[in-house]
Parts: sequence; structure tokens; C-alpha cells
Amino acid sequence: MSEARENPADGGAEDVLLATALLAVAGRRIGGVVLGEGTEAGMAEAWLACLGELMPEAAVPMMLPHSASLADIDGSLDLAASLAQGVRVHSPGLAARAAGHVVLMRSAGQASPAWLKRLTDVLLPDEGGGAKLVVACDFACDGPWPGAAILSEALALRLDFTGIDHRTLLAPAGWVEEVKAARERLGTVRIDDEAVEGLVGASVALGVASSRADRQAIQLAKAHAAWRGADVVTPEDAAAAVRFSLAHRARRMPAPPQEVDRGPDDEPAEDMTDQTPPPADDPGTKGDDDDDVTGGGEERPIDATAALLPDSVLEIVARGIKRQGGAQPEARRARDGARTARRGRPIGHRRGDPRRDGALHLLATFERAAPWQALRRKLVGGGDGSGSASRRIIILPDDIRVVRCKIDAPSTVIFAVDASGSSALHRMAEAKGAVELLLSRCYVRRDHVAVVAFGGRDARILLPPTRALARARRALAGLPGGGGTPLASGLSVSHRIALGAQRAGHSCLIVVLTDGRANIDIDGVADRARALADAMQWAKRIAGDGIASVLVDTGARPAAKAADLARALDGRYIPLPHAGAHEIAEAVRAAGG
Amino acid sequence: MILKIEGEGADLSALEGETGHSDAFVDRQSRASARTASDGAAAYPFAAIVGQDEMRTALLVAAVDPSVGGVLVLGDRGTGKSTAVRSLAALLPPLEVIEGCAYACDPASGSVCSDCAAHGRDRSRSIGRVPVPMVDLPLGVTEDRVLGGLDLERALAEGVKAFQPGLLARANRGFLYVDEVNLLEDHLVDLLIDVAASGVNIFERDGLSVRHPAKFVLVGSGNPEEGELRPQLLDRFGLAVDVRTPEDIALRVEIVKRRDAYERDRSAFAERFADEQDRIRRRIVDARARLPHVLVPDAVLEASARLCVALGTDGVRGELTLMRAARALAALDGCDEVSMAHARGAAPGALAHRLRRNPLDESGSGVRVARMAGELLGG
Repeated sequence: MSEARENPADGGAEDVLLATALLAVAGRRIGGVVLGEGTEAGMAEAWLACLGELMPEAAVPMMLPHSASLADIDGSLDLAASLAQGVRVHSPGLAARAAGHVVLMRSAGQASPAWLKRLTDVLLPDEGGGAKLVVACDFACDGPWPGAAILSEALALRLDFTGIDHRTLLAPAGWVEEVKAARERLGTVRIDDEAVEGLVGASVALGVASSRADRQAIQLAKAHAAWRGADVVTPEDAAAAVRFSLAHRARRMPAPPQEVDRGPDDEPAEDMTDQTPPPADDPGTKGDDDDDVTGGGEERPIDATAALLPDSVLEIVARGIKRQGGAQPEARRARDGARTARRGRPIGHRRGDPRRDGALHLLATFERAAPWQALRRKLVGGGDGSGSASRRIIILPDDIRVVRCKIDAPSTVIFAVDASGSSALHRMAEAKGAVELLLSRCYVRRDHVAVVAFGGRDARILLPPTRALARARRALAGLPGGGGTPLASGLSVSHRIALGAQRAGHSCLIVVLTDGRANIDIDGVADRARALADAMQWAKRIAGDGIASVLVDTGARPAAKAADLARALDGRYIPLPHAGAHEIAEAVRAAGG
Repeated sequence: MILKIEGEGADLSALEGETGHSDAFVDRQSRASARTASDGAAAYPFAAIVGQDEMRTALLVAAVDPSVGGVLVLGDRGTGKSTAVRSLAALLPPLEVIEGCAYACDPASGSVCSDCAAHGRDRSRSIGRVPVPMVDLPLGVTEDRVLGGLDLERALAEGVKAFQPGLLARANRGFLYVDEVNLLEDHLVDLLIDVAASGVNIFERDGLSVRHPAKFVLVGSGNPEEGELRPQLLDRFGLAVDVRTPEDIALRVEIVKRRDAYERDRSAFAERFADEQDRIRRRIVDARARLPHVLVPDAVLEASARLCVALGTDGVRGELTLMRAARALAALDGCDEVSMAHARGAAPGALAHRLRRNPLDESGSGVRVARMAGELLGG
């Protein structure tokens, strides 16, 4: 697998094709599939065409519009029709219409967790029924967000299209028949207890919590056996199930096998596969992977089962954990913001559709309609003034007003922490301490916090905006120090997060903790002059976008460069030559943090 | 003329026959969300749940004494939280209700909705039996679906101002389950907890003034990794338990096997656990009957108070909940007096989430509570 990524020979495509065939065989039993990394233009279409060939039901999938509101999912009152007919007319929800169909969610990556949760609940109820299969496109999602966990809990497969040419996504000749045969055979495939224990053991070793994942892995192993033409699940089938359905859900690296405590409950795990995994700290993986991994799981009793995981699994796990614990901007919060604007404190009314835009404002609607009643009665013709018809109010869709709401703007505090060598020597501990103190304050105020660290060649988002403070603390604890000072990158990344948060209606504050000695430019090149110019430029952009900021000078003595930067940021400058964590926290609080 | 609405003020008599009228609406709301015990054979048997003892005990305590004030279940997705709540509702014996009442009023109780109160002298209303309601509150639900609101259809078609009961009304005398309560908007959580605590839904909007009983056990679940619950809200749940996914492979395998057996043949599966189900049901019914007579000795009360002081829990809510939970545990054990052991058993669930803690401290406070309880509630 690791070669396959550098050299896009068709190892990857073959894998995807096999997973697609298994999906076509197992269908609803495994929930569905997330189209993950590399689902660029054309890829999803090519893959869907391939699935459609293997699975006739998928040829015309039901598209789920991303503008669908929760009311659309459940079905809602068709106001226009209800008004016209004078009786309640109910338009069926997407969920009802999706029953028995292959459902395609194109923009799952932008959806709010609540929306996804509701959808997966109605489309894939635990007791069966619902949609035939759910296909969720998640390519925009490369950061940790609650929605990703919701999708991966519900859908067994996650496909990675990185390095695959979409023209190679063609079902080989004869697969259509083979899938058909496998589907028929699936009901008779047996799985013995040993294989079930192996699969569940792998799930435990990888830190997968959901029991649904266990069940789906078993179904997938059966599907794989059926696909091979066998009627008993073998270790080969189990390994495929682990690779396809458990590895991407992993939340920790399985413990390395050499530390296995040979206990009495030792399982004959070796017969699952003869591949032995590399130690968890594979030199091929990047250093930061290790951070994430150790951050995710505590010390656990080591499982012999870990030994059965083929190394391709370990690679997927490492990537998956990076994806879950890694870092990317959270533009998708914008959607949450748009949604929540429908609720909150009512502050008036506006024209709109109650199905989409919020609750109906009845009084305002009547007020709009009232002056026209006489005229409308004449136009409708029924207005001869007799009977109950005359008492009916004629309301046209144009009259309909919905409640406008205001929610108190939430805020996001972004910490940009200088983790370069010069800072690390002097102030790293104090900066960390200060951020922790500020975090507890943010916790009290329910702020979102994000942590950006810059050091070495570039800046990384240690933590995208979140309210899960425990994660912020873990992110900080793992903050590495050393290397150059890519201040411009730090500012640019913080700026990006701030823009995303602003779009979601948050007010933002960037707290930069640095000594101002930039020496790496925005492109990661060591050039002191360019580095400083770049940093100033990004500082001005932040100021220009109206983002509030505070610069805490963590240098040994106040530096003119840092003060200049604060001016460019149009933010407050706090030199703290001898301050401790408490002083920093106090100063930032006073500055409006 | 602006409006032609026949105002009927707070008079709820307009609600009579209302349920029939709005069936379509209610059914739609409840489709897939409110499953009730009517399909008792279909629900996963409570007795078949593997492990998760803390959660099961907390749910049983809340079922015996709803006044403990709700249960918060924290843990990973897919660990059977919602299954547990559903199966408990299905396990409980059906309720006696005044037929035709939108709020499932109890004929034996003095506190009924204004509609039933108006008919109070009229004995002709028949009594029916319905399964214990288990209402699932979907995320993203609007306030008017929760609280109820003006019945639009009748307002528009008939010009009548009538109240359309919401999910709170449907949950009366049953369970209201909020999955992923930490993703629910704060103001809705506030509202739910307020109603759960008072047992009454007071509706003053859209020119309507309605109050109706809404006594339910609020069960919230959540995954703390995905955003925490505000401490103020945390504190208002009576009991809080952590559910962990079993790391024991044999247990996990058993979970999978039982689920598989259940899906294969539900009635056979139900049959397999029928005796155990009966035993738990009897235990709950007995405990409910016993509860009013269970004594709490002063020694236990004092020790509990010492424990709360030692742990530094704010306010008296902790002590009250601890006492109620201990009493329910005693009732479940068939005892007429609360022992120190009952109080010890109830302490972690009732107190752990009330400790003042460093928000960044990840070590669970349950351990601390259990240790302290062991010291102070010994003997």
C-alpha cells in the first residue's frame, strides 16, 4: 500500500473495485460507503457508474439535496397547498421517499452533525429497513469534525481514491454475474466463533467503540467469502473485512505484537494471517502521527489480536487517526451557523418559507393578507358573501412571513503559538501554561478555541475550533518545539480559521504568542527579510478583515519587531519579558480575550 | 377587520377530538422516532443487554423514582445507549390512561390536564391502557414541535385557535430520550430540563395560554469528545453515568451474537429472555409500590451530607438526588430501609458530575466519589 501511493499503479484502483463489489454484495447489511480522499471531479461519477453496473439499484441513485432542511428530511406541512385546499397537505419527507433506494449525499462533508445524525438515523435505522444503501461524499472533509464520526459509525466502507485514475474504475468483465451469484450465496455463508472473535478483537485493538461496526465487519467478511465462492469465512475474509471496514474507524494504533503479554487467554491469532505488522512507530510514518496516536489512546492491555492486522491496515489506521485528530480549517461550521439562525430569540419577521426559513409568523402573515381579502374574494370568485367560504382567509404564498431569530454570537479564540527553537528555549512552558489558563476561561464562557502552532518550516492546526477543551489540552501537551520561526505561516493559518469562524457568525480573536523573530517565509524558505515581510503582510490582512488580535511578546526582552507586528495587526501589544502564565492570561483577558 | 379567529382563550375543550384530527401530524412526528411498547415483542429485551451495569441501574432507579431528575449517559456512539432506553420503556407495564386525552392523563391521579379536569366529575370517560411512551427527540427539532403550538390547520381552515400538543405532551408519564444531547442547542436543553423538573409544560405564545402535565424521565446521551455539555446543564441531570465500550472480547462477541439472534427471530429471542424480563418488571413494580414506605435512617442522611461536604458539591441538589437514588436502590433490593451500601452504590451516579473540577482534568471524578463514599459511608 505504501508503494501504491507513491506509484499510482493500480493497487489502489483494484482495492476500490474489490470494495465496490463487496458493497454490491452486502448492500444494506453494511450501511454504505463514504467516498473519501481524492474524490475529485469525475471520480464520484465514474465510481457510481461502476457501482451501478454491479448493482442495478444503484444505477439511478436518489440524490439528497444538500439544501434539504431537517423538516425536509422528516416531511413537512406543504403550506401553499394547505392554504389553497383548506386542509392539511403533507409533503412526504426525503426519508420516506428514500426507502429502498440507494441514496447519494453529495456534500456530506459540509453538513452539520445534527443533520447527518438525523439522516443516518432515518435512512439506516438499527432495526433494518430505510434506504437500500447510503453513499456519502466526504472529500471536502479532511479535518476532524463530529460529522465524520457520525458517518463512519453508520457506514462500513470508506474509499480512498488518492492516486487513482478515474478511467480505470471499470468493473472487470464477468463481475456483474459474479456479484449476482455472491448475493445469492451470501445467505448461506457461515462464520465460526473463532473468526467472530478475531474480528471483534481487531475492533477492540483498534479502539473502535461501536458494536454496529463489529456487526458490519462480520457481514463484510461473509460478503467477501461469498464473493470468493466459499461458504465459510476464512482468515483471508476476516482480514479483508478488517482492512475495509475497521481500519478507517480506528481511533488508536494497535499495540505492537512483540509486547504481547502471553496470557492464558492467548488467541491463536496467527492463523488469521501470516503477515506480521511492523512496530507501531514505523519509521515511515511521520513524527506527528505518533503524537496523535499517543494522544488518542491510553495504555491498554495489549491484545494478541493486534498481530493479525496486515500492515496495509496499519497504514490506513495511521492515516485515519491523523484525519480524525489532524487539522484543517472548519469552513463547514458555516452551515451550522446558517441553520442556527433559524432559532434563538425572535426579533421580528420576514418573507420566507416555514419549511426552510424558520417558524411561521402567523400574525404577520395575516396582517399582510388582510388588506387584500375583499379583492381576493372577488378574484377567486367564491366571494359572494355566503356560507363559510366568506369566512376563510385567502392567503397566498407571498403573504407568508417567518420569524426572524437572533442568536447571541458565539466566539472563537485562536491561539497561534510560536513553537520555534528560539521560543521553545525561553517561554514554551509559560506560553503553554497561559494558554491552558485561557482555555479554562473559554470553557466557562463556552467559547470555541483553536490552537495553531508554528515552528520548523510551517504552521499546523493542532486543534480546529472546538468546544472540547480536553482535546485542546491534549493538543497543547503534544506541542513540539524547535526549528525556525515561520511566523507568516502561523498568521496565515490563523487567518484562515478566523475567516471560517466569521462566516459561521462567530466573533474572533487571534492571540499570537511569539518573540517576533520570523526567519522562515510563507513558502517555508529560510530568509529572514522575506520572512518578516511576509509576516507583516499577513498581519495586515488579518487587520484588514477586521479580526481582533492580541500579540504577546514572549521574547526575553521586548522587541521592536514584535511591536511592529502588533501595529500591523492593529492589535494590542503585550510585552512580557518576565511574566508568568498568570500574567499572560490576565493581560489577554484585559485585552478582550 | 384583520383576523377572524374565534378566540377560546385557555379553554382547552377545543382539544377534544383533537387527537383524531391531527393524527397524521403526530404519526409523522413519531414515525421512526417514538417507538412504544406496543411492539413489545419487537423491542430488544432489556434483560438481554450485555454489561453496562451502571447505565442499567441508573435507568432502573429513574424508572422507580422519576423524581431523581433524569439520566445523562455519556459515552461512545454505538454502545447501546438508545437500545437500553427503548427496551426499558418496552419492559414497563402499560399505563392506565383516560381515553381520548392527548396527554395520557392518569385516571388515578389528582393532577390531570385542564381538559380532563373539566371532565373530572364526568365518570363516563373510559379508561384505556397504553404502552409507556418513549419519545425520541430528534436533533434540530424546532421549539414548537417540542412545546406544542398553535394548530395551524384549524387556525387557517376553521379560524379556531387550538393548541397542538408537542413532543413534551407525548412524553408525559414516559421517557423523553435525547440522543447526542450535547449537539442539541443549549436553549432547548434548558427548556427540557425545566419542564422535566417541574412536570408541567406552560405554554404562553401565539395568543394561547395552556398548561398541561409533562412528567417524564429525561434521558440524554452524548459523546464528550464532541463538545461538552455546559456545566450548568450537567449539574441539572439527576444521575450521570459513563458508558464504556467493553474491551473484553468475549463480552463484545456476546453482544454481537445476541443482536444477531434478535434480528434473526425476534419472537424466539424475546421468548428466551421472557422469564428474566418478567423478573425485572416485577422488581420495578414492587419497588414502586415499596418506595413511599422506604425509610432513610438519620445516620445515612448524615453520612451522605458529610460526603457531599467533603466532595464540595454545590447546593443541596446533590444530597437530594443521592438520597432519592439510594432510596430507589433500596426499594429495588426489596429493603424497607436504606443502608449505607445503598448510599454508596448511588453516590457515583448522583454526585460525580457535580464536582467542581478543572475542565481540563480528564481523570474521571467517579473514582474520587467512589473512594470517598467508601470512606464516609462505610459500615
